[in-house]
Amino acid sequence: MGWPLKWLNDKKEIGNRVGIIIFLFIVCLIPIVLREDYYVHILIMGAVWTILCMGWVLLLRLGLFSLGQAGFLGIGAYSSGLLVLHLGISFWFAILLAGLFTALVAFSLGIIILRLRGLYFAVVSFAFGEVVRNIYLNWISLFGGVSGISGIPRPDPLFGLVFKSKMPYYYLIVFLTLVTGIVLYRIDQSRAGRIFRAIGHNSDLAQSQGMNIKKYKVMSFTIASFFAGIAGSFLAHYYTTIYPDQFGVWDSILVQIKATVGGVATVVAGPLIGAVVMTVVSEVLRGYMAGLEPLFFGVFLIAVVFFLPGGLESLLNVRRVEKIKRT
Amino acid sequence: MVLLDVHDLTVNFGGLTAVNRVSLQLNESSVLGIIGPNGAGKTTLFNLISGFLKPSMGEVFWKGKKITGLRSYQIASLGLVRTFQSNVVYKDVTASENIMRSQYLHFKTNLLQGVLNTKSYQEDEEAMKKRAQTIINFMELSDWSSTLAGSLPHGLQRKLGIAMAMACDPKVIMLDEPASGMNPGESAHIMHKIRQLSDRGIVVMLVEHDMKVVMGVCDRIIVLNHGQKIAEGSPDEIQKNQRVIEAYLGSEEMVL
Repeated sequence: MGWPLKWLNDKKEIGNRVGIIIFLFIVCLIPIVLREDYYVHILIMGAVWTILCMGWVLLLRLGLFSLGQAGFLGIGAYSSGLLVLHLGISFWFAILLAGLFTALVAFSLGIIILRLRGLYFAVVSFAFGEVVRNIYLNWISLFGGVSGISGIPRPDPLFGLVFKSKMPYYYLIVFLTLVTGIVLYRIDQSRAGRIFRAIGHNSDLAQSQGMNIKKYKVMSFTIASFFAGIAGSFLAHYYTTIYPDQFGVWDSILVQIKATVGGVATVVAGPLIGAVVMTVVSEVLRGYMAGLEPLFFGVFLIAVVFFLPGGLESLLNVRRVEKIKRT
Repeated sequence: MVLLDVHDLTVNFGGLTAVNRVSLQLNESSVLGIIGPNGAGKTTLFNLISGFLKPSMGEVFWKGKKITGLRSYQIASLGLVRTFQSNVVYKDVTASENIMRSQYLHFKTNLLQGVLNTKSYQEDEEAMKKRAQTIINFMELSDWSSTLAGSLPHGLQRKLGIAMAMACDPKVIMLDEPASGMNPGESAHIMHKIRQLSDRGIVVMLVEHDMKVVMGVCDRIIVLNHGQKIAEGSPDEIQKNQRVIEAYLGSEEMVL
């Protein structure tokens, strides 16, 4: 039972850890203070994007530049929606199954395509996203074609949360993002992260030291897709209607833009900042210049790469860097 | 005992035979040098033995077991570790992190234990840090252990590369031009380290252009030219060998 105290007892990390607790506290208070469904909805979307971006950064560690993450989001959404609609199983069971199924697809696909390096992988992952979308479009009897699937049931009540307003969805996605963040952070900071980075930095060298590159690439691809599938399942039962264009190429590219704008130094902070900030910004822009967001995103991405190569995340570290410089 | 037995190894790139029926044997406690003019196929031979290239013909045996066709990471896990001519280190991290990564084959706890941060993982991590420190001390790199590997001078990067190969705890270490681009002082130091490695029971096989280094540390030398083995013997024998002199300086008829 002593572990929370132990966790706070680490003197070097105490500042960060107290900060994290305060941050989580604020996150939980936001919907109570805002009281406006529209704002809560934007934050929910920000959290969904955060999960996608975190997985994307994990893949980047191995030098895998994926342009197909929305494809996995879609697989999670469709599989979960269909499972609940047709088999009548509970959402809480389906979300896990959807994650596992998405991971299984990624695993099988990964075994085939992860022998490709660099741009070749990027192009194939891009094509994969499109192939999946076209399957939804054309297999009308199962996926409903252009109009997709509607009437997906909302999650069953759990722990007193009744999914009729935005609020319970908000807490659910915060919980899912938190779990994803903790798992991916631990992977990134432990030995797995060390191996992933070694492969990303110099795969020949890594191989000469005994690392089975393909195995770790498939592993990370499967893990990232598992969480993308979970996020997709959440999305299906949040919207209650899903259609192919929600999981298009543009969404896959957005994952990459949001993560890069946020910063990729850590697997959690950058993606979180990038996803939330960019989602809010894109909503604001929609009011003024609907349809032109992609243009703005491009400009923003280029500006960040040129003037803030560490991403928005590096703004938080300015003080710490200065402190190091002084000592 | 014969550790490594290479039999008629051949590789063709289109019409070019880069390595042509090369055979060699590596015994315990020896330093084998491979020399030859540029383009003789020395590095290609290394790539073939270490599994980075697939041979067109021929076989490689490790302690009597056939290892041709195994992947490079599998060959490394047997204890046959090679270094590279360029890009020898992970440039974006510190020297000590380079060594930590190189101890991959010695991690005793699995990745899940790492993710859960179990006690045995933490102990293993501590043990690895200690082990890394000994290797850094051995290669006399402790002053640079927290420097980014990419910003180290060339000579030190090559030394770090050898330290990283050592961190894999190899039985045979294959060094691809360990002294290239080094000044005389640095290459003398590398020679000293190679001898120390050999004294520790590690079998060394090296490709090198610096004749002082080759003649100074090798017990036996193999000479390649146009992919073929043209001579094998002790440094003294090689220096007097007519075919070797011809390969390096050209024969008299060609001069006419």
